[in-house]
Amino acid sequence: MTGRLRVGIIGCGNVALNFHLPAYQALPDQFTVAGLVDPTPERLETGRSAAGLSDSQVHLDAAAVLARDDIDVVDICTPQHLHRDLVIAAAAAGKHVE
Amino acid sequence: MSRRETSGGSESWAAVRYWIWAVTASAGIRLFGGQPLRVSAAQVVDTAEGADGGDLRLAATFALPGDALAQFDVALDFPRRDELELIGANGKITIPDPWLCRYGYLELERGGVSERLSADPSGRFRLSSHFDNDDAYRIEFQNASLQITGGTAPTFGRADAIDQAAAIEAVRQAATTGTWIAMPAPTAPNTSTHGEPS
Repeated sequence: MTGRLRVGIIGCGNVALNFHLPAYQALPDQFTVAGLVDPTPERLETGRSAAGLSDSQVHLDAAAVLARDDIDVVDICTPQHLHRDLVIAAAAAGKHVE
Repeated sequence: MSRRETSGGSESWAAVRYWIWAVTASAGIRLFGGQPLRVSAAQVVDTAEGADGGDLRLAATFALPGDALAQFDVALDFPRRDELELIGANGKITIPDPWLCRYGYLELERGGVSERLSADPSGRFRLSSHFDNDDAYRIEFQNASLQITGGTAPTFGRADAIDQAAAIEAVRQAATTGTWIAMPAPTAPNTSTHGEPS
């Protein structure tokens, strides 16, 4: 795999939006954040705005971002008890997992 | 080791709520001291409503190769503190905020003399001066990007991940049973900075 990696961030909490997202944005030659997921519409909108994404690039359900062909890497930023199943689902979908 | 053994399954892991810090501490100890030979641990279970039997506090001791010992503790109800201390017969290294390195320095004490050393003397990692920086995440993502796009081998590979999972599983067992847990032989070659064969 070459070129800029397209990232989908699952979970729009404090660490995701205040640390992970800025870190990706500090590496524009290596990453572009192309998708976001959060079940809470207000958090999703906060993330969408910060990442500069369109409505069609953000999702309430993780399955939607895992199904996208234009996502190379998923960054799982959910509460810990949800990590395991999401990591397995992301690997099964052929995504790199951060 | 099966996935069930390394993951523990969602039910058993639900009993260890603040586990991420135990994982981080274990990784730091293994980096400097190698894979533990034996593990002891104790936990205080959170009885608050909604805690679901998760831990409130946990402390562990690792018996390491070369007669070294390591200890860590994590807690949900203490004032936040993050510090890594490496101490031996001839001196001590203290690293404040070791997981995110936001202070950008470490302290070396040797022969009764203490000095402060830069964590990035060459400026290679472009550490920020403001405290709430995202340097640790940026460096992590940069390394991950190289491994995905450039075919660079991970600094710590799959075998190390299995050894890490085994160490964490031993902490969980020790905290649950109250006994020392003997560790299996490590899968990965010794990558610690300790220098002792493990």
